[in-house]
Amino acid sequence: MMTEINSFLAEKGIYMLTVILFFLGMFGMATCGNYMKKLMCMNIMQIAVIFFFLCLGQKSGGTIPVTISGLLSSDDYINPLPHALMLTAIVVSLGTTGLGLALLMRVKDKYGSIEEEVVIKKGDEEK
Amino acid sequence: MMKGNKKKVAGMMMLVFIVIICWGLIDLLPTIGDPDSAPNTHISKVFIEEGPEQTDAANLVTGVLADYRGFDTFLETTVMYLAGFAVAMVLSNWLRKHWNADIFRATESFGGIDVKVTMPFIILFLLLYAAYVLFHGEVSLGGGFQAGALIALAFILYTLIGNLELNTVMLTQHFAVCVGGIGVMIYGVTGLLPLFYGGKFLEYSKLPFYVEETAKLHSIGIIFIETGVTICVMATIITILEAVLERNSLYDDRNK
Amino acid sequence: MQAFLIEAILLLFLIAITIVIILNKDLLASVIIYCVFSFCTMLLYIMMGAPDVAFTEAVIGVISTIYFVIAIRTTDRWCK
Repeated sequence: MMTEINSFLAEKGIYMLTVILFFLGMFGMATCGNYMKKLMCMNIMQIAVIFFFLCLGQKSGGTIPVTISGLLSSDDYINPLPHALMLTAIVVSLGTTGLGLALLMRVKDKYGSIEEEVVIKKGDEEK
Repeated sequence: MMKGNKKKVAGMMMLVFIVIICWGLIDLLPTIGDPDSAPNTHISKVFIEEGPEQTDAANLVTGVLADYRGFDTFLETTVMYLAGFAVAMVLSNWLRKHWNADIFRATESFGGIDVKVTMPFIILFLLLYAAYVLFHGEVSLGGGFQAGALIALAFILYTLIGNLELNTVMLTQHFAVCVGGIGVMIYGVTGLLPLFYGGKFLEYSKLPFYVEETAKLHSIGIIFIETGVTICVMATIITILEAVLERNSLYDDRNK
Repeated sequence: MQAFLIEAILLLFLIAITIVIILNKDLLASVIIYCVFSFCTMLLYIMMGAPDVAFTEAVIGVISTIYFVIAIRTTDRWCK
């Protein structure tokens, strides 16, 4: 029973949950009326993508990618390439969050609200 | 009425996408943990087997990040710097010389513990830890990005406890942007230096330092660029924080 | 071998947190729950054998929460 669950999770289950998380983030970005909530949902979507990349680098029976004397075969270590790529992606996501918040504050200055409906209505009135 | 419909349509579309991907496309992906899957075979074998000797970094992630994919990291650092620069540009229409972070300032000591006495010790050890993470990034876990974020966290804690006598630590917003540029410049100059000695961009083995083995030159180059990354990340985080805080204090003044 | 089950439970927890964030009307509460989200992600990364990424996520999650909190102070706290 336990081995069946594990093999199902390894083949499909984890990917399914990641896909659900990704589309939940996308759903939040599409439907939430508040810009700050949209930004949070964007971060969630980003984390789903990062997690997907880390799934691809997994190796059963491998240790963390720091060399230990005596182990030099490539099957003993987890693939370090997705880790290096995703590490920079996480840090850059902080930059995008900050820039998004800055733009949001300008929106609040100009339109007096960060609700999507109010901003669109005021933009129409200005025309 | 409109809003409910929109939510329903979006939810249905997401469900359809989820079902299509789960039943049709997941079979194409490799099993998690399979050592012979496509991402684990081609180039990553070379990285793992020859990385420790070629780059002289025991931490394979740092070796890949700073050496094999150094050009990639260079541009990521530039993107980080540009994000801080853009925040400073976007929020710079309200000019003012001095900012004060009233939101974070806790002048009252809480619960019998004086924050101003205890916090400097925490900040001290946080900075020590950041230096450890930076210089041991190639041997153990850590690296430039984490060290920069830790130093920025120390700065945030410093802002939290309000004005101390250590006014020299204060980085204003415009100064912090310049410091971020210096971080990117350190990275770029380290990359350009081998060009004058017959190497390629970011080829550490042609760096003009005298050492016994060529592999040691790689670790020197990695430490240089990690320092650049640290300075850039730290300055960017501080820039964004101060731009937003400055806006906060001005907003308070306007609403008084 | 048990690791996949733990990962699946953590992922289910993340999905539940996401639903709470989307449905919540208090933005400040949403941000604090987002902090919980990033720490759960950190546990997940450690389970995947990526301690470097987990370290980064731990530090960056705290800093992005601080950004959100100080941005909420200037903008609205409640959403429709």
